[in-house]
Amino acid sequence: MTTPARRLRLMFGCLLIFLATIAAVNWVANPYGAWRIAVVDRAYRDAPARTNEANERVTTAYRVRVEEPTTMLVGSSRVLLGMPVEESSPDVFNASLSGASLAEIAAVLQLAVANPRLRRVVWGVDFYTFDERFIGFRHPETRLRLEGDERRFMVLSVKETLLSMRALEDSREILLRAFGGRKKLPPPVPVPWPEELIRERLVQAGQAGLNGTDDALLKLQLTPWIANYSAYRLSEPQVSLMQRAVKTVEQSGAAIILFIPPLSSCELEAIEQTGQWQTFQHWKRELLAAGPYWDFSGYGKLERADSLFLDVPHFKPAVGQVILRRLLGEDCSQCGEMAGLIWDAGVLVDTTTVDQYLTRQDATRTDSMGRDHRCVGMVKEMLRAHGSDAAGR
Amino acid sequence: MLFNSYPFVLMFLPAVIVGVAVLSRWRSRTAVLAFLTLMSWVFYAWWNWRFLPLILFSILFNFALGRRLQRVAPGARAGRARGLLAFGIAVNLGLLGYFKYRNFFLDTASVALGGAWRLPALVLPLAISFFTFEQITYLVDAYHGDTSEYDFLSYSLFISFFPHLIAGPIVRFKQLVPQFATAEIFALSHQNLASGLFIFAIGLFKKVIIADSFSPWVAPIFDSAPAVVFSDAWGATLAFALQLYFDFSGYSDMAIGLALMLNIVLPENFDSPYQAHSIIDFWRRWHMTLSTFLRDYLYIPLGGNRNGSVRRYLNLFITMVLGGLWHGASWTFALWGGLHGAYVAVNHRWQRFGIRLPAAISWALTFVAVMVGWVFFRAPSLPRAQVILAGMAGLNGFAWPHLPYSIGGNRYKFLLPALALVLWCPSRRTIMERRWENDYLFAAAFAVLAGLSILRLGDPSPFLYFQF
Repeated sequence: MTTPARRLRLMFGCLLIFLATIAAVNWVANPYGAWRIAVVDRAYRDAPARTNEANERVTTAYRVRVEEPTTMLVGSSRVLLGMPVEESSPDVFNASLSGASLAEIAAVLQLAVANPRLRRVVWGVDFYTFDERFIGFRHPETRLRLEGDERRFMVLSVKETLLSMRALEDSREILLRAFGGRKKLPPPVPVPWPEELIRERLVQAGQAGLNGTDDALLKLQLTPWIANYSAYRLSEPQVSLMQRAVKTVEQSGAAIILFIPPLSSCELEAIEQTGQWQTFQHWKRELLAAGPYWDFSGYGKLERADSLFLDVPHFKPAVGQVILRRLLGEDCSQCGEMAGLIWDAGVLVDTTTVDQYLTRQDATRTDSMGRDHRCVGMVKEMLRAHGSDAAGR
Repeated sequence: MLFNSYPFVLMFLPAVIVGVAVLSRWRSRTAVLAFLTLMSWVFYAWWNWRFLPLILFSILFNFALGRRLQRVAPGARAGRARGLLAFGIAVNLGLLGYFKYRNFFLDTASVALGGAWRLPALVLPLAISFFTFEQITYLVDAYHGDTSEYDFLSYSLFISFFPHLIAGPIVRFKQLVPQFATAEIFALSHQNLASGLFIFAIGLFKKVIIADSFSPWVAPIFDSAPAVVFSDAWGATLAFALQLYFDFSGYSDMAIGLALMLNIVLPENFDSPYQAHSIIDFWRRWHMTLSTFLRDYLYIPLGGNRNGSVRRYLNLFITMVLGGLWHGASWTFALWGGLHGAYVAVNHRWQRFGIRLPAAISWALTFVAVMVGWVFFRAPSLPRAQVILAGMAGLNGFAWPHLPYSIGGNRYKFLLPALALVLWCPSRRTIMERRWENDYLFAAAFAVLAGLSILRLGDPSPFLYFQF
């Protein structure tokens, strides 16, 4: 029999059952390892759905607390997309975040050093993260996730890992993988990739990348970089923050390897034409306060090979794997001819070599100016539209 | 405070319901009204308490003026009352103009006269466009003697009643205040609580599950894409049309549902507008309370259709341009309004020919015309609108969309189901009017709608109409 009171009770009852069911599914699947339950093997948890900045900031914040890798990769989307840890690599965890700020990376490292197995951290350092406008946390809740006290973190955990659509989508994916069984999981791929895999991928680089991008999309990709570099102001406190983060890792007993990722011709052109080249060089000098680093971002041959870039800011995974092999001191002589170009682009910079290196970079840059690349004219045109005074160099 | 946020759903709403339930046991209408008014002010101040004095001043000023207008003898109306009314409208519009339009007028004057005048941008007080219009309707009604007995508490609640305060529906004195006077109005009923909750859940679902799915796609194309191809331009415009509809009608549903929980009936604001077969029909279905306001308080006072067809079309055009500008201080909104003014005028003219187009053609023409209008409504500037319109006209090629990595996947999978929903699904009102004999089905439907929406409350996003 229908009565309004009964209907109301049923509505709340059904809602509670619905939410409790969702929470139970998420708890059992435990997509981010936030709860002490191991019904579903963590092997199925690898490669959760990471589709945007917000998702990464949720999943990484929980996983960095529970994963126990020996090698951790940190940085921005350049490292996230360029050095993917694809399947079942318990020894390597990529904790990079798209558009990561230095504060976020430092907070991730603070959590990561609690892992007793951690032996080394590879940090892809980005010029943009030292901009005054990139200080602090990109998303308001990221600080709470990474630095919050236990009680508030617990409330947030319930909200994000049990009563969340995002968690439900990731749980669904994990449960589907688990139902498929281990046999259906892709075979584990060691990180860094084996040489033959790198060789194969570099040969396949082909047209699917920056070289195959039409002008309209290229402009779309360049737009944020023109805006960023036009208003770039180097922040000295950010250098200190990085120094402190590096020290935290070193004090935990783990080694830290710093590198500046490769930049495409288009991005270097944006730096150049916005008048930030000297700031870029100055930043490289300042960076030494944190320790020696590998620089793959200079003018040379790598930046001109558009086929090695996914788009304006991102290098391809095969490129990242060659870099990783180089950083970790592993051989890559069988990685193919293209790998040599990437390998040779890396220069170890320390206080004794920095002057010579930067002078050489200035010279190479002068040689490269005026060369024929479609981004030269495009950046100039976009800067004119952007109304920047830096258009005329 | 956003309706689609944890603080509202888990704290504010339960506190209001429990508070009203407790107070209504005292059978004190005043206590309930005072409590609801206070909670509405808390709701408003949650966003920015610094603007609370502004809305309180506006309420006090208009209440005092309205009472004065009411007291003026009918014989004196031609002079003194009209003067009072003009003063009241001027103060209201002055306030709105100061916060919302001053830089728009300065920019326009700068361009026209070659100056470089600019004042620092002001934070637009939330809901100022809505409560200004509502208070103007009150003053006009008071002038016409259409306001019955009421007290300050009823008037305060009429303006600041939290369900409609931020983004409507735009309510009139006669629609709301008489409801506050009935004795049983705040004796909570299970029936209305259940129906109100269900309507609220539908609105929440529309907002957080459907509308928010489109937002990541719309912005990159409208705001920064340098050249937009045909498929991207139409895709983004369609996505915006759906985003706006589900966002705003979702908000209206939530407002109507919340009010119903408290036994208050708010006017409907949407009636499947994308199913319209003409522009006139569209405006009978889209933001209905604004359309009615514009008709009764602008178009008719301008002369309506009383002075010949030319003057009628001019009045329509002026009404729609001002309606466009109400949405925002920008020429894009004025153009959007002007375009719709022209559409409506053409539609009226066409009706005089007595030619009826096949339903599919009239629907398609209406739909495309509305889409073109949305380009001006959404574009951040006229040049950006040109870029999108050029794309829609195919001037930049017809390629299938190639959205950049940052947009987050293909949104096309959402477009068709959402489009089907707006084109074929009965309106929310129709759904609620059917007899739900089966309690289990009703409760299960509520649980799915509300439950899925709650799972998305972690990332609350503001409603599009909050900016107006």
